[in-house]
Amino acid sequence: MAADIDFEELSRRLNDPALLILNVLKKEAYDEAHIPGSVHLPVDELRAGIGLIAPDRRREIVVYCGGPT
Amino acid sequence: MQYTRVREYPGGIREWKERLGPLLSAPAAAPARPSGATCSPDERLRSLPAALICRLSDLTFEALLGAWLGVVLGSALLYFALDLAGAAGLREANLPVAADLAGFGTAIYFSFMTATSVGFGEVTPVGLARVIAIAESVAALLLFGCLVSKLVSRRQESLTEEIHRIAFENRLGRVLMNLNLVRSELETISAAAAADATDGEQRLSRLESAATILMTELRAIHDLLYRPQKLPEETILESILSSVAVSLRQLGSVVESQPAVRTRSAAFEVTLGAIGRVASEICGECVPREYAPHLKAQMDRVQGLARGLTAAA
Repeated sequence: MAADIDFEELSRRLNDPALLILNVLKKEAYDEAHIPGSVHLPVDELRAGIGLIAPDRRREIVVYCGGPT
Repeated sequence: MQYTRVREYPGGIREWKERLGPLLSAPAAAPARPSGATCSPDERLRSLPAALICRLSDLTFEALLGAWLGVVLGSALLYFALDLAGAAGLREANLPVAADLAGFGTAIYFSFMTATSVGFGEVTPVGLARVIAIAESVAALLLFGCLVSKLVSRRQESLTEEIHRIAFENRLGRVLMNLNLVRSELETISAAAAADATDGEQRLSRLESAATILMTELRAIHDLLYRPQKLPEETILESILSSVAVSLRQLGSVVESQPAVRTRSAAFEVTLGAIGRVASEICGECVPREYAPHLKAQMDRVQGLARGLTAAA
């Protein structure tokens, strides 16, 4: 994992189709509230699912979860 | 995992909420919960009575009926137990009810009369039996209320299902209609470009509009395939996919024959990229649901065309 992204940049690029935003929380959390445009891929399915959701390995991806742990 | 451009948003949903970033909740459109479960999480957290009513309304009709009968029979057993113990229980014509089979029948009879709030009054409770009678009346009435409201809501639920189905079919119809529009627009643009008839600016703006519509519908289709709430009919899905394939092919040939359009319009370039990316995620093995082989083949074709589109970059 490379650098982090901050709130300003992420909120600016919300509608950028080049950016794939991944929510790795559980389904209930995603359903309750998620960043618009983010795709739900729970962390335990990450390995299996990422190839399907983003077959292009050079795709720009941002991952987020609940918050600082 | 060889993904080279992955970053983390460390603040997570917590910071996002704190800083009032926009949020979405899962679409309430489709009843994702099984029919009958109507309790929302915040209702459950309210006061104890509210939480109790909520939990009760989550039970099925059969379960509620069973619970009601259980209360009645349980209370009857308690009344009879009191009579057996010789303690103050039920009285009939001012005499304590006997602790035999007839007495048991009386207990059951009294229990039903209390639960249905009929209470003729020839059998009366005394002492502890009064406490049981109070509890039984309240419980039975509560359950009965839930039972009746469940009957009513069943009808409502089936109507809501019907509305969702109609709305879904409308949406699919709109997708098909817009895809046809895109196709005819692209055809006209190609023909005009070949004849060099109309002016380039107008062609370009028509191209931009057509591309934007295509992107919108592609997003809807992508959503349909990746977050399936309802399964579209196979024939409809087939029409949609083949329409998408034709549009992508036409778009590709327009771009190929006039590469200048990409440099002249930044908006078109961005839209083209978005179309390519969304469409390239539509393939037979990519989508979470298992579809028939001919549908999967069509999805693969869409992906192939999309890849060709972005490869022309």
